[in-house]
Amino acid sequence: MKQLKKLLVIGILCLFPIFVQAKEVNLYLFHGDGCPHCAKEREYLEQLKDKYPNLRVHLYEVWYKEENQELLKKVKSAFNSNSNYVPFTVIGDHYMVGFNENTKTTIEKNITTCLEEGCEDIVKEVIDGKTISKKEPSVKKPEEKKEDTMKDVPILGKVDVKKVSLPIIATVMGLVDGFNPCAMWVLLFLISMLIGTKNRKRMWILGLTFLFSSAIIYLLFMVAWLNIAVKMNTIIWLRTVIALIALVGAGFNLRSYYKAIKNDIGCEVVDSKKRKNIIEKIKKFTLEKSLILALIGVITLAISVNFIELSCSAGLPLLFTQILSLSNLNTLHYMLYIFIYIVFFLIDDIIIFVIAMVTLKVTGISNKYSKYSHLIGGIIMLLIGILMLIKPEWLMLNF
Amino acid sequence: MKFIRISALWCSSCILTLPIWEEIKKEYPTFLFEELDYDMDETQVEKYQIGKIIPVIIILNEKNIEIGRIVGEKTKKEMVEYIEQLRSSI
Repeated sequence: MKQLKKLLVIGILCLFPIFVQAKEVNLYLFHGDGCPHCAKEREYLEQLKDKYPNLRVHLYEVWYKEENQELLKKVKSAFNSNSNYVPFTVIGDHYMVGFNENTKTTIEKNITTCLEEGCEDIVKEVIDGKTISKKEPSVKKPEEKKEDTMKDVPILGKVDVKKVSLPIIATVMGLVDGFNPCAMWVLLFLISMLIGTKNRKRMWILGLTFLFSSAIIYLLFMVAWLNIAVKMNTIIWLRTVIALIALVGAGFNLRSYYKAIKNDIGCEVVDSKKRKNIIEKIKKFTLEKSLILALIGVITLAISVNFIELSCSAGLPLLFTQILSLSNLNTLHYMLYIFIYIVFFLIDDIIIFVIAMVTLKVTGISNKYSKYSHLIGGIIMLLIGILMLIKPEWLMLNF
Repeated sequence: MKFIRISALWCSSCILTLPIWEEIKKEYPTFLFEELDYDMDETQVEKYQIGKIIPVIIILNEKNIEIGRIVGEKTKKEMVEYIEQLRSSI
């Protein structure tokens, strides 16, 4: 009899793992058709299905299917997440955004934990219509294995390439954008007129107000573009349109460079009417007795000039905000990188202004450099346009 | 010979080449020099059909006929060479 009991117990114990093993785990992937990271994750999940027979993968395409977008919205609110990005992966009561080497280990870790310990299936509860108050995830996020992005850079020493790439792009694109001559001529004329007033204090006030107003206008442009880009970056055709704009912009810039190398180096005189209009405005308020009225004049000048010159330099800031929107950043980081861009966009203007105020002599930058800004700007736009079309994930710098 | 320089206050190339123009004036005291502003002296500038690039230096002979022009950012050496070449050809 004892033997029989023993056999019975062993049998149950043997069965138990299967019983345990019989427990399923649901993985929900909210993805976009054409999203490169999503495609990579789907491939990875196929391999995991072979490895974990009890893994059930549920796919929801959210770029084109509205009902899936609705479900994703509910799931995100259950998790208190306002991420706009895909892939959005949920296992039990844990979610992940994006897909890279780190996410792989997290996904597998969560699957095994759910299989062994079981976990609450938030998405299932959302589908079943249950109201969920977001609880701390039962699955602890494993220590993220850092991809080896630390590089040894001469002089600078150890640099995290992933963290540095966006600031470098902001600096380079801001500098190149700042070098194009579109708005420079207004500053030079303004400085010439200010020096003529022979009133140092007033020169500094009006000049700095012009530069500061230009920075604010540019900031507003870029934030507006960024908002559009973040909201729309999951829409493929819009990204294709922006990529085509980039390629057209590249064409214009490279053509300007080609024309510039054939012509004499000098200032190109274009659109006399527009220029005269601005010149008259500058003359009017620099000679204006009342400082307040002069200040209002400077601010309106900065607004109108930056509006007019927008088309001349629109390509680079538009593309930069597109790159920002592709990277998974929070608002603070967005503003930081835009700030870096604008500082380097204005840096040549600031240098010219300060030198002029100190020496009371206008200085200028040779136009041979502006032709190189066309060349470099054109190459940058060409690269970004092509990448946006065929390898957008290379521009996703923070996943 | 007479030299007419067409420039503009807002033009960085004009600003950069102004010192060279001042030196040339000192080196050739016997020549006549005149300066026109592209925006302020529009009617006079139109006569010389200067195209899209400034600064431009128009060079006239004694009969006020144009015998040459220097366009854009040029070094002093390039300008002097060109002037000497014109002088030897008249």
